[in-house]
Amino acid sequence: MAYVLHKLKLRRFFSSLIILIAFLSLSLVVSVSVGSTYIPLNEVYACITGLDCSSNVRYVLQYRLVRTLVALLAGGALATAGVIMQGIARNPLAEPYILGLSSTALTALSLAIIIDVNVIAHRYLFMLIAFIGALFGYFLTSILSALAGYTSNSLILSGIAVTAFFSGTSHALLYIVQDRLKFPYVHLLMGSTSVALFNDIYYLTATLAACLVITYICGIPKLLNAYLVGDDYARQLGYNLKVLITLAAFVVSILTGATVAIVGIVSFIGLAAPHISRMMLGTSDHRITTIVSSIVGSLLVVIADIGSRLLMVLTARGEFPLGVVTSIIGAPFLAYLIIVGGRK
Amino acid sequence: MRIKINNLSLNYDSVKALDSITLDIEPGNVTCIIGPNGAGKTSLLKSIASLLKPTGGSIYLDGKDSKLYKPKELAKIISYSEAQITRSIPMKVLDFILTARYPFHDVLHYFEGGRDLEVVNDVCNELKVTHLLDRRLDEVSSGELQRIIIAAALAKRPKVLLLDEPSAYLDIRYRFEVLDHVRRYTKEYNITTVIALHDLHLTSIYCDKVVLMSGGRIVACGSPSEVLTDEAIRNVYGVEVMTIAVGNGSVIAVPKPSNLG
Repeated sequence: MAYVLHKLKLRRFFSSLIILIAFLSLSLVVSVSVGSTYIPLNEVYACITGLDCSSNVRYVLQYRLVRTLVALLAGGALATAGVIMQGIARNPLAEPYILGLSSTALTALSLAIIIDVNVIAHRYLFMLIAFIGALFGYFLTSILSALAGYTSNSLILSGIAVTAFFSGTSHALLYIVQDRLKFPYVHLLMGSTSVALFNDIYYLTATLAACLVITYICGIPKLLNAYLVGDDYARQLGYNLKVLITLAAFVVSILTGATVAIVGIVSFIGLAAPHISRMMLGTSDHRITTIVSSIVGSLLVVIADIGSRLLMVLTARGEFPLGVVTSIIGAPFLAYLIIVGGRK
Repeated sequence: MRIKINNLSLNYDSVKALDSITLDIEPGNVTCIIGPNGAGKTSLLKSIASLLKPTGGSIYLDGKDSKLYKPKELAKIISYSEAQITRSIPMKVLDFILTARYPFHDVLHYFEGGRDLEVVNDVCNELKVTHLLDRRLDEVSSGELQRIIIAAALAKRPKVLLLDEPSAYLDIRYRFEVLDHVRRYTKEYNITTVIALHDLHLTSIYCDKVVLMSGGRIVACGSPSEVLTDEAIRNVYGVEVMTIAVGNGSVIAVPKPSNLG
């Protein structure tokens, strides 16, 4: 029985991977063809394969490819952050946005821009500042939640308090930034890939790859499997919880900080992707849900990015932020999870 | 594995949870710790598992101070399990039981190998939880969960098995079955089993040695018939009881509340 189930699990994992990668490839092609300038799919195909490419088409495609790839990487990063966050919080509603990490990261960024505008040009420094902000948010929410008795409700409510305070603060600060800098930094509030630069692909790829490698090499997925059961259960398996949980919190903060620094706050991806991956896989074994979540997250953000551009085409009103789309889809999903969780 | 506890003390803030405990625990025996709530049963089990750091004294495992073992080594030898686990993000029962095999993996063996699955398969058949393996942890009853937790504890193939209240949520059939299995397993593999129990009747049936605790101290220690006396129970629990022997050394303690006239 154990053998059969184990095999089935692995088979389900690989088939999920194949299906997701197929969908992701499809969404990439759609993403580069959708926008204010319509490019027929056959021209997209011809250009990608190098058969025939006019310079106009190439320019548009390059721009769209950059933002599509940034969307893909940001989605992967947020989903990975989400799945780890839910594990260390032992709470299926935990997510970097809900627990306040995104808002504190953005507040740190706005402060940094006000202090020295040039910080924007140094992407690694910019990401580092956002990371410190996110880490601050993590500890602030954890401390508040611990003071309130460490129940699953106290964690979420602390997160809401931290998010509310710091999204207000970051709004105010970004208004000040707008006076100094003629750049639509309000986009950071709701997330957007329209401001992404070519080099951001490298920064995000490096960050996401490093975080995934660290996560797997340090055995964080296994730790989370054991940790979900209980502190003492994980410790009797030989895990040093203080070190590993702190490391996991760092990984979450790095991933959140990196995405906030580049695309701004994109909500609910870290919530939805882990749930969808658990549904697909039928288990919450973090060794497989972490990687599947990251692909689901990529897919979700690429689709949301397509959605935000479709909205632009349909309403003829200019660019819609990405976060608008993820919020409109993500919030009902959160409501669904609350209802299902409440019924149990 | 022989466990020698020498003058062990443990303080929570200024409260004495364990007070100079000295105890020898032999392999191949089921040792039961009984006593009222707050007597220090859980503290003692957790200290043996090195989950709590003692304030004083030491614990020797096969003559070697447990502080000298690496956490990874201890993880392979000692299984400690509680009566309840968190199920907020429930995994599959099989995935949960397989977590017990993690101490045997190294960096290269990220997933379970044939040996892990074989052990888990055997343990699940013995504890009759095989039909539950495909369910999620939140889809099983509390009695089933209890058996699953014990299956996970045994899936380590431990040399020291520490169970905290393993029978709390079980119905009478599984109380007997599970403890019977634990006892058989202890004899067969010559492991050292320590169980914290509340049920005095089960204690008298399944334990080779009983340790009666109260206020962080050992009050009495010996065979069930030596320890489970009217007088000792009255002194420790503060309840008048009448112990009735029902054969084979098994004892039923019937409470006689004094205020009922």
